Amino acid sequence: MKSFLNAVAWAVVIALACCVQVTLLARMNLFGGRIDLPLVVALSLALVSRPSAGALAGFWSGLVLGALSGATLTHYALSRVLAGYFSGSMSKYEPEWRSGALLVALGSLIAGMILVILAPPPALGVALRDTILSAIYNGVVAMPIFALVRKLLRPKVV
Amino acid sequence: MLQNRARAGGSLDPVSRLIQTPLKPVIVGLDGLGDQSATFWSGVRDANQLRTENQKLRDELTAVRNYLDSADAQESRIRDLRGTMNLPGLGKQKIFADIIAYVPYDNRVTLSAGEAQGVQPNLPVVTVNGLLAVVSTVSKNTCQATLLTSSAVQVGGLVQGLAPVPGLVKGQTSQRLVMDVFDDAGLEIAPGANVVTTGYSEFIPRGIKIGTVTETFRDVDFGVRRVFILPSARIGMTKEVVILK
Repeated sequence: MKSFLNAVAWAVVIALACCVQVTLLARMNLFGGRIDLPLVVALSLALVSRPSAGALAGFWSGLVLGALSGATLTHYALSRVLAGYFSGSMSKYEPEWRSGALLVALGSLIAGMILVILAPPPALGVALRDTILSAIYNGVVAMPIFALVRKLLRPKVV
Repeated sequence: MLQNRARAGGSLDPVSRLIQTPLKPVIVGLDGLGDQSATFWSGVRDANQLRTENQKLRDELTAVRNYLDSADAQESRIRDLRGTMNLPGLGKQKIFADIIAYVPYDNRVTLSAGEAQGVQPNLPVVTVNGLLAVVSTVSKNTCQATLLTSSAVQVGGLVQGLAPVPGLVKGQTSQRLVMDVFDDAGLEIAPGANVVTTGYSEFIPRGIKIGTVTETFRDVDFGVRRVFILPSARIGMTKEVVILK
């Protein structure tokens, strides 16, 4: 029951992150790159969960963000499912906050690349550059977010 | 596929609608915040460009103001010059000159014409507004003229009206002339009447405007009517003058 409530709570957090993304962060564009807050939250969550849970977090973030931004749901959901699964598979190494931020950046890069493959943009070079920049920004933003998620979800030693 | 079909039908797919509906209030609330935030960030991002643009606009405004001031001054000068050129000679020869110095303490001006141009003492110095001064001393290329507002200068004046009233006009202050006339019965001098030169002089012709009557005062002790006149030509109104010879 507790784990179900936890899952619902995190689903709400990811949904709110999507709201912030489409209203505030979507307008903040630095050299073409953007912070992707729902992805950062989902991947941070995945890094302290099982791969299936990570994939589910990625799927939910993709689904909500796609629905709110009017994008193709399949592309968003699929790219993030794979990135979430990857991050979840890294959880066995129990990354600390710095390596966690690096893995979130890597997961963002994977999600971005898959999205580029699924929906090829007209200017590929620009899209790749923006994807790399966004991954870097996500890595930076992930430092406090992953540290917080890790603190909240780390198993307590008794 | 479901989404594509809904899009083709011009509507939102059920999944997107299901997700958007509960989150709509949150998005509306954040959107207002986003507008303010976007304005703030665009201000920060464009601050340097805005500052440069602002400075450029200020410079342009200053240049336009300078130009307008200069144009106004030039226009005024052209108007004065035209007026001076078209001054009636009243049967006399016109010698054009500029006021090149002013000594307020002595009520005196220096003009840029002298003996070489044919200037002599006691000649009238006239502007587009009227009689300004009388030449007092002359050197080779300049001359000194005493302003009409000086108490040392007396000029024959004629108050215009149904019955013109003659008298001697002399300076009282820098803004006022005074003329005493015999207080005959039936003498009527109305404020606003023009005062011109009488022409009862070897040098000053008749009809040059001196000023306008502002008020009159009956001096019972001396049996005269004292007429106060606002001089029509005053120093500072123009730089160009004509000496009538």
